Amino acid sequence: MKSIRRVLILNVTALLVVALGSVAALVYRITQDALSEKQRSAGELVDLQFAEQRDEALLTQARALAGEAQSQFDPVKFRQYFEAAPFGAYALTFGANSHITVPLWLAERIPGPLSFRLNGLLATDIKLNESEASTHGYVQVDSDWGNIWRSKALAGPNLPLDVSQFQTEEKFQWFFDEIEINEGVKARRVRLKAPLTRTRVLVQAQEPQPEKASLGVAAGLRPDPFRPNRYIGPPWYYDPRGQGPGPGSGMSKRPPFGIGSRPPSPSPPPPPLSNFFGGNYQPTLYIQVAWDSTTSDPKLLELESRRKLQHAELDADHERSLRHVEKRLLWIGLGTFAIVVVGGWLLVGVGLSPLKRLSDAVSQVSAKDFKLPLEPRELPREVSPVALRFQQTLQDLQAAFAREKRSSADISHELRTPLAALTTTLEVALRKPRSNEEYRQTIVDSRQIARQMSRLVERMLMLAWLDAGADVIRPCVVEIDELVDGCAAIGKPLAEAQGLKFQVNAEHPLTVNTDPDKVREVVMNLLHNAIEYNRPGGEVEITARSSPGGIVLVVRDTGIGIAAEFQDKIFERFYRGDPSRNATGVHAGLGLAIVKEYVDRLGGRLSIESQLGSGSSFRVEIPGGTLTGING
Amino acid sequence: MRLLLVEDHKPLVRALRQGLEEEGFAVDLAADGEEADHKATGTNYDVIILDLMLPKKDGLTLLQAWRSAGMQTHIIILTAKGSLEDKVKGLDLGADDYLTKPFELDELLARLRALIRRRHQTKDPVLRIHDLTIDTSSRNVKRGSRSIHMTPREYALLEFLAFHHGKVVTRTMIWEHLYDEHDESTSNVVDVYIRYLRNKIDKGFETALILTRWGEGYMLRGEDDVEAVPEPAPATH
Repeated sequence: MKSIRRVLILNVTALLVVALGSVAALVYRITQDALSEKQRSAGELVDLQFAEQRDEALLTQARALAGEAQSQFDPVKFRQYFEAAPFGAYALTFGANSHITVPLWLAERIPGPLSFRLNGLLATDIKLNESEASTHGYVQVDSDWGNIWRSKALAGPNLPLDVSQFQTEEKFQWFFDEIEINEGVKARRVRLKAPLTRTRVLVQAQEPQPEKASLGVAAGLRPDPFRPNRYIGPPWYYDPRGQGPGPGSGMSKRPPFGIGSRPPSPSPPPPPLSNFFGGNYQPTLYIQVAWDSTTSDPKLLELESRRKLQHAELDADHERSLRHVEKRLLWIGLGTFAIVVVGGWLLVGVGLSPLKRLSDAVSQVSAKDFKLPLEPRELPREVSPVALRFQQTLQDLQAAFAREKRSSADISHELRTPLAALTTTLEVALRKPRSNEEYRQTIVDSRQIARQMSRLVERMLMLAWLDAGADVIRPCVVEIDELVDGCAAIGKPLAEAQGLKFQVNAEHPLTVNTDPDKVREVVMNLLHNAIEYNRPGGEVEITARSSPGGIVLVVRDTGIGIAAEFQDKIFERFYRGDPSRNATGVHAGLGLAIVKEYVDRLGGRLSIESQLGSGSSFRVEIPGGTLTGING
Repeated sequence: MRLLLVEDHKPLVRALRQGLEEEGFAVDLAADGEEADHKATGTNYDVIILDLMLPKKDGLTLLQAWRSAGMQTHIIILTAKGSLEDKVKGLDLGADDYLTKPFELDELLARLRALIRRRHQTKDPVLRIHDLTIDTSSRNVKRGSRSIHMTPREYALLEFLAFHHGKVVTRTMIWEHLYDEHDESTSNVVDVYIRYLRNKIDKGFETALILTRWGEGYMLRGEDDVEAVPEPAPATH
């Protein structure tokens, strides 16, 4: 057997699977896109960070080189002259060119801008330790006085440098760019402009000390043993306290180059430079450092590996997030599925409960008790019409049953009384020997009772016949006036025997197309009724006339009449105006029921006008149309 | 015994009346409810036979009214209404018995006799007074060993006296219970029948059972009255 609940649940489940599947696919897709986007931007960020850190490292190296470069002005040439000064005058006599040393000597002897300028112009050189400076790339240091230092890696042409790029006012400035060095070697380059802030006397190149070299301090830098506190450098950096630059204190004098830190503004600020020989000349270094992708700089390698690591982490993160989303979606889907299936089962149960109540109630209905144990108005709108209709049907059925029961009780009652009379009559007659006259009387009485009973049975059969639909209407042209006269001929003696006045008013001629047998039955029944229920000395009148639609028959009596509340009941079977009046047994409440049935079959109308105590008037309208043979 | 037959079906009334009268009952008739009410309240009947579906006044309505008015008369309902509910309702409203149509006359008579016995507080259908035996069911009367034939009316009178044996029964009482409404009231009809009875019962016996109480009426000799008169010699039973 099909279950509505199961069907509903299966359909809802199927629908749910489709809906959940679509939603989950959509959500998964969207999440995947978002995660990919996130991964991509995170990757970009990592790349950016990498580029920034690489540039930072480049810059750091450039700065370190700048620091180193400015520490390695080489005034050695000059010092040689200085050491030979006492012989300078002497030398004047020997060499035409030896007089050149004189201003140099003077220049060194007189510290100040002029001395510095001369030093810079004539006696300085840029020297960098090759192994220190350019292990991991290409380095080129330019100076604005024309000295250039290039690392060995730069075998090819010079790295191009456009000095005009740099702002003259800025002391420190740098640019990053991509450059093609040679034969398609692409490299990242930084160009750094840095001011030359001091020079230092280099005594001699010593063995490099590894720990200092890593700091980018010029190797073999030693204080001058003869003039330990001698300062050589731009006068605006001169310390009047006479603290000469040393390996330790020199650090503090240098502008603190380093990653992420800007050189502090010196106090007092340097005067603006005009030109190389102007009052406030500021010598400048241009350091270029370039790294190609093959550079094995540890810093770069570290950055590179960190970048790769981060990318790998991002990929892993992405995968993990996706797995997580998948798992979540799966659980959400399963949870929703379970909830909807269980909840749906319950909800459908709740929804179907009125139906169950109805079916329970219906199953309790029995033929004994036609009550539906349920109040239909309490049911939901969808079900209550069914219940209401069913209840109505049950009530109709109950009424029909009650009618049937009463009818059979009536029939048995109507038959029992004459039967009792018959048996009693016969028994009494048989109790002892009697005279012929007495026997005869008994037989006469018995015959009378039997006739009454047979008439009763006949009427009941007639009604049953009508009920069964076995009766057939046979219409023909009927002369109603003659028919009424015929009935009156039978009724008149009966009426007069009861002391009643009998009157006939029939229109002549009066014809109608109908079934004469039925009409005769109707008229006779009405006449019998009028005679039976009349008062002594009353009258019975039958009238027949034509009407627009056919004919009208009226049978009037002066009997007891029928109260208004019973007027629609008198056509029911076994109904009598006087409930106990069964003395004659003939009419037994069936006459008017038969009249009504016949009039209905003939397509006519039966009505009654009555006043209690003064008589009744039964009116039959029979249509005169073309009444064809109708069954039942 | 005097009955009231309330029934509106004329052929049945005719047959039943004849049957009952031939059994010695005095039968009054009522064809509708009002007549029945009138007669039942005016006369002290032994039993009322009541139909239920009556013109003018319904049988059950009558029954209820009579019982609530304190009427003690035994009532048997005789009706075509045969359903259980109808029977229960009729008995519950105060009827003593219920019989449905069609019925056997013998059954009705037996039930009537039972009701009459109940009215006189006796269960034995055979009445024994001294050496007189009256079988109320077969209506056989014996004095000693001698069987006595009686007409219905003589029997009815003897039975009435026997039910009241030892007590004085007035002529009015006899009249009321043995004669129906249509009988001509002649002053000596009771005396005539008493004489008939004496001829049949006491004649040839030493002990007279039917005694005359001058100025009051008659009585059938009770058990206390034995020593007052000499016992008859063969008191066989």
